[in-house]
Amino acid sequence: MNTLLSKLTLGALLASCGMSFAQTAKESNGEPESVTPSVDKKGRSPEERDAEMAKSFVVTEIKGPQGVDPQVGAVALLPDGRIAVAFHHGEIGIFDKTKSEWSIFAEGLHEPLGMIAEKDGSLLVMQRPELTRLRDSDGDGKADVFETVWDGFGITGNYHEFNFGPLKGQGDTVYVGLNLASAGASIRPEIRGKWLPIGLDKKDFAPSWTKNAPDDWKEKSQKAGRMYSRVPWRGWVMEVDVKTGKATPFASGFRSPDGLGFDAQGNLLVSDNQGDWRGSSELHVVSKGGFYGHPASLPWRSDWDGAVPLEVSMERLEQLRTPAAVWFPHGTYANSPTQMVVIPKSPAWGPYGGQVVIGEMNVPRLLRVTLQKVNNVWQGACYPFVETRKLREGLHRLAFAGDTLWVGRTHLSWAGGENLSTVEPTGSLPFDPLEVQVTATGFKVRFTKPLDYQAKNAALWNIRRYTYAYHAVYGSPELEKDFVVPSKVTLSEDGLTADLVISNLQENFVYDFDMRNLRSRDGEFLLNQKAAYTLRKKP
Amino acid sequence: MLVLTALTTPVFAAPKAESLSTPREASQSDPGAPSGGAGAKVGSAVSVKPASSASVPKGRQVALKMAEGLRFDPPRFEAKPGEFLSVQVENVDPSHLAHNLVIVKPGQVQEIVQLAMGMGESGPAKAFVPTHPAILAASSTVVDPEKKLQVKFKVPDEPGVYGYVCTVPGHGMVMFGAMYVGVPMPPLAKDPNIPQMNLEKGLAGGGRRPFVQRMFLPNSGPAAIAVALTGNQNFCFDAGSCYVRYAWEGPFLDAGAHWRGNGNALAELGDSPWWRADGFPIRLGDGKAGDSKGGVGKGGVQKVKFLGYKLLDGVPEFRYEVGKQEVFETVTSHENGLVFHFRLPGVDQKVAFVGGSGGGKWVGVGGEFVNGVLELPADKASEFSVRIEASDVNAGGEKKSPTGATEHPHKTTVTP
Repeated sequence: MNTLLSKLTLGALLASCGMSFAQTAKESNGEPESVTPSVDKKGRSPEERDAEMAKSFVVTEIKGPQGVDPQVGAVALLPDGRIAVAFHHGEIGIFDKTKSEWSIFAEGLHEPLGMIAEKDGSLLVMQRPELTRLRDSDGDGKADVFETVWDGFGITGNYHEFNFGPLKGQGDTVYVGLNLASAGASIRPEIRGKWLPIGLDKKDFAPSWTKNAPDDWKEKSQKAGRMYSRVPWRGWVMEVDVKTGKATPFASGFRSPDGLGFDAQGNLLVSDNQGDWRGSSELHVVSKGGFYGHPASLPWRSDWDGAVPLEVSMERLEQLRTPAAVWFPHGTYANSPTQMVVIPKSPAWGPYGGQVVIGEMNVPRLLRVTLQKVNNVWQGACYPFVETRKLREGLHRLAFAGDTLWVGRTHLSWAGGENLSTVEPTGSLPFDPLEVQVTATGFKVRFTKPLDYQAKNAALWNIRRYTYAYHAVYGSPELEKDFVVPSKVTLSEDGLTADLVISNLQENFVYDFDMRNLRSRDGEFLLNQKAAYTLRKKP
Repeated sequence: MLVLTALTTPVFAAPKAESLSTPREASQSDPGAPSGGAGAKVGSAVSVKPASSASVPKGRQVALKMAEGLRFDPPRFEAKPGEFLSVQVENVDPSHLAHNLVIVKPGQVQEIVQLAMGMGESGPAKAFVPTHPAILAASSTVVDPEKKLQVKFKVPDEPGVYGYVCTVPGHGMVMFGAMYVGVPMPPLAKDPNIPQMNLEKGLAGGGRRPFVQRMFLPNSGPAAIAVALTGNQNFCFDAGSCYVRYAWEGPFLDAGAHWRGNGNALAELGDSPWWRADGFPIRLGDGKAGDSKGGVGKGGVQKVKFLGYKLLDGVPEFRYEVGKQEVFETVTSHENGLVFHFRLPGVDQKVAFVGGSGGGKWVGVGGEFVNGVLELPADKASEFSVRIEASDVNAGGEKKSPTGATEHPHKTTVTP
């Protein structure tokens, strides 16, 4: 009743301020849509958006070394300030920005997808078969020693068993994320690691050197699971001591944990991709022993009772899992979020300093993420951040060198791009939403510049809420969609913060803020006009 | 990563009668439906009036596949100025991505890609086809995996290298091709109008030797290391079981399919192996030397652990443990096979090297093979070499006997 009234009021208000009423009417009939209407403000063309972005961020293209397939699996800052980049065919290139020169440090690795530099200049690289330390023992600028640091995880030969990380933790600890296998293919006759004998029988996988999958695989793979973990630690984040090579299982329930990072407070963050058991793409705040939703990895828990993951009851899964802290709404924010890094606290990055920036494969957009802990539950928001066609798609690997953000692209036969770009702030601060936080009475939204007093008009705030299903099928439409209208909006004295009073906040919903109607006191439009807050717990 | 959902909404209106110069009619057919315009089922995507479609010349058929790794196959084709074409596009991309086809005037492919990228969230409803005068024709919808679709159009009279491209976001930078109209095609390897990856054969290391490439290889554990040695020998070291699995002569590895896709394909060896190992060859102490299939606790092979490798002038020296014994192994080539150099620092027990029966002839350096096994006392085992020689210059491990049956060329060197 209340909601219906809200909708009608909102429709009338939007109509009165020149918004497309047809659009809102279409949404309120509750039918799922394949395309979410553009949230960009009326009439801002891609060229105009690019031009606006260019006022605040300079994007510079950096081509990979000549003759090297320029898909980037990893980017790392070296102690001497140069940038190491791992490429798709297994090369590690080192770029000296002062000379604009590439040198080749190593070749022949197998799909390196993560890399960190150690203090002595050696590199720790995660490739398909192992975590490897690369050292240049004779000082000729090329790696000659390849030490196997850790290979104690399983491989079936399935293409989707990508390995991510290492992320440097405390002391000698690194974190590594191990992908599940995909039912897009079967396995190979020779595997590494102990085969898990529950679920689809191994003979039904019909392992073959010549075929990716048996002829009846479409039917059989239903029983395998859309993504499966049949060798150790697939779907897990592992903690590895790089001195001893000893690994400890850290957290489970992952599907495709491409991005591992810390926030400024040292919380471990892991991104995961929309798919089975992932209604939309996700960001998790990960603690030791946690289970983050994808059941395929559960049988590798030491306390597991042998149940087949696909047969575990929803009640049990719900009881075990920690839901994502942040959903990236699919189609509007991110379809394939990647690596996250912390923005430096520096004059150049200004108020964004200390926040998390994350890449995205499918659109030329970097996003920001902010987190909030409410009653011991992590939740937070994502925001479009740097979005310009100059960035192009496939924004896979991120690393800061001082105030310069390096972004490497890949596609691996999916959507994406190649080569690298640097992103540098010009120092011209845009009018931007900075942070959304839930309050006891609604939401508090901070901005980079003071809001015009008009922002007190609740009708200017266009907020939708919706949720996603947790289930075995791929993805989820937006469910239980509704409009939300603040009953009151107050502005802080400095105009930087708006307090929105919203009754009846619903837990486990995304609150998607469309702020295209807001202006700064100087009459500027917002550079980025939306934010999506995932509400898990009300304060 | 992203799997595009099916788009069923019609995008373009039915072609008008004068649309012959820039027709965009298309029909999406069922997978497996007979190819060709006449037999193809006209889907609901575009309504074509019988009268007008009858007046459209059938056009010369051109088959174009949307293939794995964001590729059009073929990457280029020829057309005559002014002729009618019926391009049948078929999405055979196993990555389950939807693609489109946009045919573009010379030199404007990347401009159209940029325009399509700028369509933002309105892109899907328009099949990611922007509006621009440089577009000659386009698929009316995206082509879903395993679907076919026809794009009919009249080739312009003006000669030139026209482009075709998939403008689905993220695809256009690499997924394009060239339609040569009335101009000669350069050799494929030197064609600047097609994506570079079509030029690459996927030869790991680009033909340089020595070269080490970790890769998924056939008949090996997944942690395989392929090595191209100076000369024309190549071998596969399995880092899971810590021994050389097989060797082949000639070209190194074609990893193109592995790299173009997402790792689904194995690399292809340049030739079939001329020798294959039976198993881990080293026995320490009193393990039964002749038992090549022995496992831990069976008096045979002790537990192995791979520790890495060091490059010495580009040639890897593998390091691993057998039980508690550290082993260094370097493999080099000689005129007719491979030499295995082993170092076992501080070894204090006898060592046996089990040659096995997988083709080739074993020769001990500083010792003799007896029934396929080289036994060394502890004081001679800290450093030793063995050699495997191809019995037949072009041997594939097995050679054909006159009757057509296969036989092992050096069975006599092995215990019957």
